[in-house]
Amino acid sequence: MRLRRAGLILLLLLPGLGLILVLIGSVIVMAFGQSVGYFALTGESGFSWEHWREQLDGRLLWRSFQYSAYIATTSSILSVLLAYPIAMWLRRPFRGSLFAGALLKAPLLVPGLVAAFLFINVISFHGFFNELMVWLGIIDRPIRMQNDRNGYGVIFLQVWKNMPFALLLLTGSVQAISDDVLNAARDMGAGSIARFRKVILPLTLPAMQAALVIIFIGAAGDFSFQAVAGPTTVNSMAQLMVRLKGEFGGYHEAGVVAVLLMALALFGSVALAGLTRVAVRAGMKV
Amino acid sequence: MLRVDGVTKTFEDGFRALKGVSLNAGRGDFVTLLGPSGCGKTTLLKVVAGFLTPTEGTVSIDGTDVTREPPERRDTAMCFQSYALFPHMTVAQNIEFGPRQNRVAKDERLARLNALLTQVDLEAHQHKLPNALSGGQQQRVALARALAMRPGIVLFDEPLSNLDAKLRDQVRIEIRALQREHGFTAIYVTHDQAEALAMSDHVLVMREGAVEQEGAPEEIYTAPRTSFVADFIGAANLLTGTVLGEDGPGRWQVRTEMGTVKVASDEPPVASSVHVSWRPEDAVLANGSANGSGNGSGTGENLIQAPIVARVYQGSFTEYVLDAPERPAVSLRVHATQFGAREGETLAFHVPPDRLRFLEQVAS
Repeated sequence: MRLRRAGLILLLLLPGLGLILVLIGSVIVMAFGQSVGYFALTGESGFSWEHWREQLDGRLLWRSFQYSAYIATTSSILSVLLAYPIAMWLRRPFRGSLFAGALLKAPLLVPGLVAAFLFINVISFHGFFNELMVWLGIIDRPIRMQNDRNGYGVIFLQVWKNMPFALLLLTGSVQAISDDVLNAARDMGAGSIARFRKVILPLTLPAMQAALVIIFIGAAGDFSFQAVAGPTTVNSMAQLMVRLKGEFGGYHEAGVVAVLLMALALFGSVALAGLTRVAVRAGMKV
Repeated sequence: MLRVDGVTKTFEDGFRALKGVSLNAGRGDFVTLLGPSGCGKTTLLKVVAGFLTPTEGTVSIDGTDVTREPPERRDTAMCFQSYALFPHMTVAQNIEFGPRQNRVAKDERLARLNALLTQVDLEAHQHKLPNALSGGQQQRVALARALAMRPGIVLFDEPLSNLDAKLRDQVRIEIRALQREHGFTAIYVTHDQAEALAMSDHVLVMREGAVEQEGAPEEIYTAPRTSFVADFIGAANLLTGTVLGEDGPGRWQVRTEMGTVKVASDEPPVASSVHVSWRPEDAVLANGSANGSGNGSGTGENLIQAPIVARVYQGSFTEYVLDAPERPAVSLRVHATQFGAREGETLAFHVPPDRLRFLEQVAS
């Protein structure tokens, strides 16, 4: 009877859960399988750790891993940090707040590649920004900003693109905090920083974690911003994966990078969410 | 202790929520702001708390002008209608929040916490989150949280409105007991006249941003000055009267919708055409049945006979709705405890002249 019931539950869950498992599972199985020598598109298929050994021994992979982790962490934290004050500003409706909110969320509608091209046009050697700075007399001659080695351009684009998403999540969460709760904190001696630290942050923690996780995963797997505006001395994980497959036909090596990229997305985002929780809790006690 | 002087509050959209309101409350007083929704009572409370800055007028606490001071710098604590407990903090953390913010030493903080938990009977719940508590318990946490600050003034914004009737009575008694024990000044906002009469030392009846009448609860109930106050505080029969002339010292003959009646009043009518009121329980039934008001000393004056159009049994008394003899469109209400009259019958009763009140002039 119990078995029958369990079977029924499984059957009912199958359309939703099954689809998710097939879609995610097939990607993971395929990537991992290729990384250990299976699903070879050219040559023989067979189990081997050789591709892992080869990649883990090389500097290229670790530089890409560090770079992607750096871009993802910085972009997600900056996006959320920027979104908070704007969400607080938009918390209570005012004349024009709807328009301001819509304008701030506009980057969500612009494809990343388009934004990246616009961006490099603006910051290129003879682009609008340099020309303006020279014309204003701030600099004597144009400076090189495009494809900077620290990835600031990529971070700028990531924040530009993702901050509206963080804003979307945080605005709803901040608006859900009642005036009475904030007034109560104020009434009991909490200034604006204490109110933010002890009431607003803990109450918006789930939204903040969701924003951080989603932005982190997206930024860790970035290809388009990196390809257009990123430094030429280092590859992002996605860029390395495409390069290994495209330039060298290394499907198995690309599989290794893919598995590591998924691991970075999973563990990085979980760590970020966990650290945020710890930080917010600690902030409440101070 | 608290002095509010000529406070006016005009919002950005031009709406004037308060129109020159003044209020005085001494240490340990229980003052209630009573009025219907939108009369400005919560706005006044927020002005006292510091959440709103008045457009005109001043707020002083213990002789110090705090009109422009933020809430965190005032000797006040507020109990919100919604309780406004911090949902992510336990009961104990909620109560400790204020003392922590004010850097009260740990020993003192814990002493206050334990004493308050005992007083509000929540020791067993101190580690629970607010959403695990009942409405009454949440209200007690809110009260304890406010008292943990040791404020001179506690502001209550309709704190019982979310509780059921029985719990409301219980928490009402608890609030009054705590107020007496701690000796704080309470400014209490409510639209429930029974609550105001039961708890207060002083009541301000508010209407459209102004104080309509203020005084002790007994004074407000027995001697309302306007038809609004008479009608808002308890049940009242409101009539329009034409003063026909004096009928001896302090007595007037007045023609009303229920006939010509005698009114005994220390104050003369303010005009020849005035509103007149009397309470349903002030009627003395003519057949000799006691009506439960204790007012069985009717002299036989002001005998009224009116047809009963409705009879509403209320448990401790029965309410009769009657057509006014001179103008049936006007309803009269009489409360009686021992009478078995039915709809369609005629009820005869007296209204003692000293129970009829002159109110404001009838608007032309």
